[in-house]
Amino acid sequence: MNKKELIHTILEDVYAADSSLRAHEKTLIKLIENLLESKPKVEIDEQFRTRLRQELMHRIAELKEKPSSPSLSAWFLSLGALRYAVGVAVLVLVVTLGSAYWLPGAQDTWHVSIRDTGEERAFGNLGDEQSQPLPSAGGIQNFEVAEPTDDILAPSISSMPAMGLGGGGGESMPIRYPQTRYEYIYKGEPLSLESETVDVLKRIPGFTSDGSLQKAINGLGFGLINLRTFTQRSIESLSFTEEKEYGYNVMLSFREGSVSIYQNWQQWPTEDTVGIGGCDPTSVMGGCMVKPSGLNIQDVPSEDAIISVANSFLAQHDIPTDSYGNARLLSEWREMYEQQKAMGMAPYVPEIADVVYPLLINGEEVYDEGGRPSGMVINVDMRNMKVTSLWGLMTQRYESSAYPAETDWDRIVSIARQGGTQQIFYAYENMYPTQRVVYITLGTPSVQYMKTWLPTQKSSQEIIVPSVIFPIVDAPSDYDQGRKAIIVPLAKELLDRVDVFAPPIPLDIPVQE
Amino acid sequence: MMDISHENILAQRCQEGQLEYFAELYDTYIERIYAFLLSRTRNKALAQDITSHTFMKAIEKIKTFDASRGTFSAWLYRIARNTLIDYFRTHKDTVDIDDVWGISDDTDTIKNAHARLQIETIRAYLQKLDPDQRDVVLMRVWDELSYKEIAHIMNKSEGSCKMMFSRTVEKMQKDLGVSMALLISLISQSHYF
Repeated sequence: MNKKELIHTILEDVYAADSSLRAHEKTLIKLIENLLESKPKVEIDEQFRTRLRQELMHRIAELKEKPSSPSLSAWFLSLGALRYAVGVAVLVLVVTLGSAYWLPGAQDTWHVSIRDTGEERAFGNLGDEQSQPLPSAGGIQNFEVAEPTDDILAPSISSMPAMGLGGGGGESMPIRYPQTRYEYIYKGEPLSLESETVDVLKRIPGFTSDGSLQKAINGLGFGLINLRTFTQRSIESLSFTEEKEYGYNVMLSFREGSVSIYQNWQQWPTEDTVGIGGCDPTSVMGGCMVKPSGLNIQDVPSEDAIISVANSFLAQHDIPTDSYGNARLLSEWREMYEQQKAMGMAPYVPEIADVVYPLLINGEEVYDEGGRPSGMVINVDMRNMKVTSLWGLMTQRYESSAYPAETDWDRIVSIARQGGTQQIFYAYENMYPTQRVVYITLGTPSVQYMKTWLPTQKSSQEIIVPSVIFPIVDAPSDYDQGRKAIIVPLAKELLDRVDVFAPPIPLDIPVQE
Repeated sequence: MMDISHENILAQRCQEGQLEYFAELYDTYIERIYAFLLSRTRNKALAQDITSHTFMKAIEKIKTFDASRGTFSAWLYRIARNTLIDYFRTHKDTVDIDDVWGISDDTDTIKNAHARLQIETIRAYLQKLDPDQRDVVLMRVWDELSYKEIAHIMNKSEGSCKMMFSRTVEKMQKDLGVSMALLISLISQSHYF
């Protein structure tokens, strides 16, 4: 629903309750508009979105592993199947881990390797010329989704990540009438962009498990089923749990080629939290709360101490780090802390710190679209000084293909001025009598790698693209703290995609009577 | 927006144990729930924490979802709202829910006097409202939830939510009418209406 329709619907409901209010329609429209404009700007952190998704998938895997009923467990025990099951599970684990890591040659998957396809544009169109947003009565609120045209690389607007919409991401998100216009200013020298092509990398996900794993699975029927009867099987994932204090859940995704580690909640102390046990199962809430606690600022350990915990964890578990740069602590919360403190609010200090090990490609760090380092992340519980989770540890096999490069520096700067590939939806110049302009100063740019995703019909595929990265060197205090740089990819087709998301002119028509 | 019947099928499959279907529900709602929570906490880390707890709880409690009582969307928002309220309750010694709920604090950065006046007036007024009245107004206007969804989230009847919204808007119109009329007059002079 666009803004005009929303206001109309809201007012019709109000008039249904009291028709005399129609006499004040102008005032009411302005009132609703102001309410809409007072909604804060929202832009979701892609790392957070991905991490939470992985955590949820892991939790789902855990829940699916639980026995469906006590009677089934009892039946297992009565057959003496448990001992057999444990034995086979251990066998599978050993074989699986061996095939993924310890078998000769398997470690190569963790090191960055790039195979040149020898073809140009081997991954298809990086943009999507067929999926153009059609203007609606109120602006760009409703996207028309075009039919995918060719191969799996054809994305649709509605399935795109939340690029350019500042948290809109998808047709259902309300887009506000923004009063703020952000301008990213770069006044330095141009970069020399002479190459006509750039090499785009596509990650090849997945492990290749060997035949011994399939053979081991044949024996996992527990007398309930003959698993040999299922053919053309692929192993999706494998997980196990450490049943000890501060134990972990470990999940290997064969499809993704990734390893994730999360705390085994059953085995971690629940100090200052309310567990799910004892809650009212008939209630949505029912006290089933694991409440976020927060630390006091004086309890936050030093950066070195936190990174040391993360490094020790990697060493303890023989996790290879030579594809990653030095650990970096992300402390964006500190900026918000200071803001809240200055405003007289009770500032929030998270309990969990994020330590990121940026992925290195050809010796260069890889960034996400928000300008944050992208790679393996370790979360450290600052209260207990223990690692709670690890994610982003993936196989690093890539294919490479040449794509036409943008050499027009003015176009690069023009897109940077709008906010790069992650544009915050903003007002146009003189669009609004009350708008403010926020100027954000960009520093000397460099060419680095940016990781992004190309949506496919059922999932998405990860690509890495050489990009111009403009660091944000000066911004007002209310600017999104998660954003450290403006990134403009050098592959022309991706820039075309950015152009698609630029709001049309005129953006919207103010509500009139 | 995902079709409700499709959403119910996904939820039903989750209830039957095929929890992998939850991924699609997550993809559909992550941004909306996060936006709902961020706009009410104005703190990214806190909003992320509560968003995580909301979805974890949704997975744990998926069997309690009853499609005959309301949409999955309303059920999920209800968890998010209650988780947020619980957070403020457990931190009532340090955080006043009325200082945070629905009220953002960026007016000092809005340089234009008219805009600042509008936003400050609205926010100051919202802060004085009864929490339920404020909830109804913000869920309807900010989150674009239907009255049916709001009713389910707040555990009230649809009729009472409609009535509460209308009365609150009427009250706002009466209380803020003079300043709104002035603003309209100012903006009209700028040829935007």
